[in-house]
Amino acid sequence: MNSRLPDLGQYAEPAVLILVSLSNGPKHGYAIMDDSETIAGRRIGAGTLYAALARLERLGMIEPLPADGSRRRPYRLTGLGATTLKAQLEGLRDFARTGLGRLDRARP
Amino acid sequence: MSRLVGLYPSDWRVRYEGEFLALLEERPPSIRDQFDIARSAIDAHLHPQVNRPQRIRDRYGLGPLAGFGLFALAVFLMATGPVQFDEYGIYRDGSAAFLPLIVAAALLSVGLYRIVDRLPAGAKGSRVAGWLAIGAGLGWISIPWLLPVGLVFLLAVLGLAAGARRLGIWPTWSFVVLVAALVVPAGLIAAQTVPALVCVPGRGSRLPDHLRPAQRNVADRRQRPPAGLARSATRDATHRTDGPGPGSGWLTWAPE
Repeated sequence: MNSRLPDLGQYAEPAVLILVSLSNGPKHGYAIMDDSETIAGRRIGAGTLYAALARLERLGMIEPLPADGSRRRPYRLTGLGATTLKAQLEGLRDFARTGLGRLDRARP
Repeated sequence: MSRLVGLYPSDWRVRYEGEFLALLEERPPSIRDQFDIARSAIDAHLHPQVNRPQRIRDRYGLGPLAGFGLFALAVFLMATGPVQFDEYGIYRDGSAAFLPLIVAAALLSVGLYRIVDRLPAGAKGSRVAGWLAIGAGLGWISIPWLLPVGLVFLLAVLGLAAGARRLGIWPTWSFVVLVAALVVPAGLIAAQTVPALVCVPGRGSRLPDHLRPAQRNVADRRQRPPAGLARSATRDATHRTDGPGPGSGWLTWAPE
């Protein structure tokens, strides 16, 4: 298994987007939504965002920071979150390499 | 918007309502977003455990935590057992710790496997320490009196815990608690085993002073007949043929 993301069902993809978004520093919900739109080309709904945030927080992969002046609360990646994201992305890289290699070999 | 938030269970609202409302104020929800919120609210009702913070027993598992407690109990029983004095010297009888130690090692092995399973592929040193700990732990169940195996087990557990903390799988406080709990038994076992391993008989090595009196007592008792018995002038025939030979101290005692 090697530190892969546990089975989060329909929230697996938003969870990876959140982890990638937090990988370059803490962000609050609105900033995560914006960043996800930039890096993946699609927006995460507010309901889905907080369902995935709650799961990641419970798994110890992200942690909340004290709220700033407004009610917005930033989140940051934990060590476990960084390790899990790295393993997840390395797995995706190997998967993509295998798929691209097969496509190249199958091309006439 | 507060009508939408009202769809969520109270546990969820206590934790997330403020920041969620702040998000909806910054980005008013479209019809599609409202459906998404309603669907997520239903999901929050169906999975209430997600909204509660993770407990220690969820993080580490009830079995390994119980194993850790039993291990501490076994160490306590071994350290406080009744003092025995026989042909092996002076020692504490830790036989009461045998059962807790076996169960603890079995439960801890499950916990160790869960940690090893979560290690990333590159963490080879931590993985080796984990498998070494599992092997030595299971070995120590079979031969609990062989303290060097126990020492290997404890040191490997500490190595694995250090790796888990460095990789972020364990928080620092867990590592500190484990080190505090294991450093004393590891030190006691090391004090018992390392001098004995260093002093190889027949190479002119000497036992350290703190181990010598017990050895001398045993030698004295071998030479001195118990009360009511006199030392026999002749060696036992069995010992003469199968024993270690003249001058070895294998003497028999006969009634006066």
